[in-house]
Amino acid sequence: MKFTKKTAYLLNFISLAVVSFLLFHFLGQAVVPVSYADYYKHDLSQMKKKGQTYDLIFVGASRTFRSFDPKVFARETDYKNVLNAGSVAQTIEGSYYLTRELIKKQHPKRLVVGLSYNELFYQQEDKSPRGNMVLYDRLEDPLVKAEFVSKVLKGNDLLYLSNLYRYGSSISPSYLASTWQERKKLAESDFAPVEKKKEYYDGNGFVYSKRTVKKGATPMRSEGTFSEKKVDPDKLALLGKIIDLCKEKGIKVSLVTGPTSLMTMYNITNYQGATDFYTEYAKEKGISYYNLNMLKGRLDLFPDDAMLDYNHVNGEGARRASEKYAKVLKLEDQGKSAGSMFYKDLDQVKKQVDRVVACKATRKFTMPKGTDRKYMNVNSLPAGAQVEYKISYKKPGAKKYRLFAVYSNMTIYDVTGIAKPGTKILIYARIKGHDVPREVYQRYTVSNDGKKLTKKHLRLNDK
Amino acid sequence: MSFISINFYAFCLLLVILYYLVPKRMQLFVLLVFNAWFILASSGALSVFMLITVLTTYGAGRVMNRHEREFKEQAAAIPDITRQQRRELRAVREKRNRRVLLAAMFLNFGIWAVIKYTDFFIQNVNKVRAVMGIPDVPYAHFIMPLGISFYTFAAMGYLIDVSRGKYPADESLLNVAVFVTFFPHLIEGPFSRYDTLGKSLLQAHNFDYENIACGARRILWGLCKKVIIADQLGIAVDTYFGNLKAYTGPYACAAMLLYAMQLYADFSGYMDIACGVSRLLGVKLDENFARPFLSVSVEDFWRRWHITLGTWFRDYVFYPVSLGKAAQKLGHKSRKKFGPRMGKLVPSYLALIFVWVITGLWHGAAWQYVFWGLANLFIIVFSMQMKPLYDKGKALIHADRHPGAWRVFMVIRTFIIVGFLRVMSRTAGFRQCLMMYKNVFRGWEGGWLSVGKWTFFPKMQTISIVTACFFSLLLILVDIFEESGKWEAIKGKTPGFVRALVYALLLAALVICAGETAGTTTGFMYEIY
Repeated sequence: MKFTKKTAYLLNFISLAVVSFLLFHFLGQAVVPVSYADYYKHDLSQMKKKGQTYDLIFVGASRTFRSFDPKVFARETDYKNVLNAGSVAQTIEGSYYLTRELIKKQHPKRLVVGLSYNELFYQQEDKSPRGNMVLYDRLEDPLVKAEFVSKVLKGNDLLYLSNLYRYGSSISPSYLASTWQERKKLAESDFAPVEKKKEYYDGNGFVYSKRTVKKGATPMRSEGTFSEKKVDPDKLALLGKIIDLCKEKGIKVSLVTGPTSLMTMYNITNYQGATDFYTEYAKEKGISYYNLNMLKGRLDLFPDDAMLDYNHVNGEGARRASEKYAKVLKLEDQGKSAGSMFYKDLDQVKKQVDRVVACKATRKFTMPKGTDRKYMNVNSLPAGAQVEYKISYKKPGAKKYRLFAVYSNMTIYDVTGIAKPGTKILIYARIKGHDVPREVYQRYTVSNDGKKLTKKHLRLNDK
Repeated sequence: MSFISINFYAFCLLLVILYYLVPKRMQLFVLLVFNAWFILASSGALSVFMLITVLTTYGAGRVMNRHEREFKEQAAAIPDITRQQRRELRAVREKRNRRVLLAAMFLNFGIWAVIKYTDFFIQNVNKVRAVMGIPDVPYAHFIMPLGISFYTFAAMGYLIDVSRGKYPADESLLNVAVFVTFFPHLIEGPFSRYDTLGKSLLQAHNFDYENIACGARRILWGLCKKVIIADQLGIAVDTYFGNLKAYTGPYACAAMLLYAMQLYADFSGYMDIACGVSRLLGVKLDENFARPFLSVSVEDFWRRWHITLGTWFRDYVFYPVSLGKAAQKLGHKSRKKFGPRMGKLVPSYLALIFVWVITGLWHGAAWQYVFWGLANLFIIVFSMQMKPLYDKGKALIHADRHPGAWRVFMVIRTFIIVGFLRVMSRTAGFRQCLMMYKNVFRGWEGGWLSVGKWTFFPKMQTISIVTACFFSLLLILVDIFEESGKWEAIKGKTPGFVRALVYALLLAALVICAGETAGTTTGFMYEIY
């Protein structure tokens, strides 16, 4: 059968389109790993089957989804069905579309929006298209999904809609086989939780993590700065839309900042400014805002073993945060303020926790100079504690650390004799009379020009 | 607007649809609008430099046309004009044209040179000032407008041809503007000639399925080269060159060879996309590559790599310099002193030195590029001079009995030499370059044969290594088939469904590899020139 040139080209084009579609579709399905979104959607469908809805919903990024345990709220409050709809790197745009979908289907009594200090900034380095795609996986309404995608994915980011683009880099025969096995198991076990790398899906959107930060080993990171100039008015407007949407439907709204490490808080310049900003905003909108990092007794609430990393609590930390916040919500529902549970501001927090005790440094940095107060601690020792310090050092090429000074309460050490370029100096600190677990340590490296330990003295407590 | 962005292909789709929908007399307007859109989106306010080039090129051309008309009128006005009189009139015309040409070249090359070489000049001045203890002159940090190295050369080539009388200048501003601003050839070339590109660009085009199919295939192949080969290998190459001290011996060699492949895939990938996009509109761009990794000598390599750059410099620098008065005078003197052979060689070598210094500087404003250019020249000249000795050696080992093996040897040898020289364009300076060369010759002490195969591809995922290697081999295989003239026959014999499957697999591999380097991929490597 002979075709005209035009017909031949059209047939070729159609066969290319069909083959491409089939290849992308089937291979695309095969590369999608089992994720928490699968469990989340299963929970929603189970609720639908039972004819029930969620009455308390949390939205927000990772500090939301790791900090609030639905079981605790169900136990401690009158909200019996609680959903943690937070997800990794969820943006305020994502929270808005998720809220729109959830309040339509779930009719909750209260919505809690988790906000970090930079949530509404023009540019957020910790958010990426992948985070938006995690949320995209959780949306169910095709129109909402389409609208969300058109808002947040531009240019080449639209390629994230292709599973091959998102997951293709993991492709190998073993990956495809294991992904297929996992899906099969998931279906056969009716979505029974599977422990992955010491964390597991604990139901209703919450992921329980058993991992803890190694004592004194949380990596130090420099954080950013809060400034109202960095707040994107469009994002602020979206937050306003979330609140208005809920109010229209008679849903109570609360704003919250989930717990993080003291180190993170202290290293964000103008952290108090962020708290004040959200407090003012909430007041204008007639709703509540609480920063769980200002909780009284927070030092004991979130020690190292309640932290997953420098920025998030683990399962135990989430339990504690949830118990506290459940109390807050109970008081709110009774028309009372929970202000007495919190410190007034960061300065009050700092008064309780003012020792420079650090975690293990993973890179070189300069000593704090003059009156700069660089708090680099995950778990500071409490005020009033008598602190002792021990110094050890390791010369370049040496295999082990050698003791330089035993535990004492001296705060100035002359390290002229050992501070050769490349030498690592380890400072241990502990409460006098205690041993581990309150011992933390900090490591410095003498720079190549030998100049980075000011005056060859170590000042450990720069009060 | 990057050639590897969805926005660009949405832009092209819109252009193709409008281009074939509008009446044919409007096609050039549509093209001009899209060219302007592309340039403004990419360069913003710096587009003004391109506007200057377009207007000066057009204006200078019109003036030269006027000189031509005046020459004809004057010649016609003289009854029974003698040859001498005609020659004198022609000389006047040529003198006037030369002034116009020099003015246009001074302005356009001047802009290009100031933007590109001011900081290089300042760097050298500061070195002298440092010796004299005088404070440094601050750097200018001029931002280069997109494609300035390419469109300036294309425009000036056009004016030089007009001044030589090769063809009259185009009286239409629209035509000149479309030629200079044609977006596919802006970023990395080719150096288009008005008489070749103009023929297909400036005529009306009917919708042709063949053009669409060929163009789309070429674009897909170009994207595969860029995303699957160049960007993936770039992960390993960046690791190597980012930590030169750590990689010696076989790793240093691997770095050189991977970089050579990365550069070829990147640059030729761009060319495929540019040619493919042009083909969608029925326009034929000049080819810039002719299977350079199958070259048998460095001289052959430069006839196959960045072809239009080589021919531009040949036609507009080498010939004028070698046939110019100064070179000819030197030639005469050399002939008298050293004999007729030197009399012929000296002007050529002088011109070649000039060409390769400029070629080096065109690639980068740094002395290592000049050195790179001269190193290429040295190898070419050395090969030419040693040819008689070389032929004797070849006869001694009876290389003619095994032409295939001999050719393979020459191809591998050329690839190694070219890869070796290319290091100069990848390292940050002379010191790093020398360190790299030293690394090639040390660190070969035992045990390297037992290292894992993947360690030659640092920081690359398994899937990246597999796809990059597979596609690199595929690229070489396609080149071999093209060289032997069998490629079209192979394509023709392949059933349509099989070809559809191959293209679908290429698309899938492209999307997978794009996801692998998402967020880290940069533009094309020759964009910076």
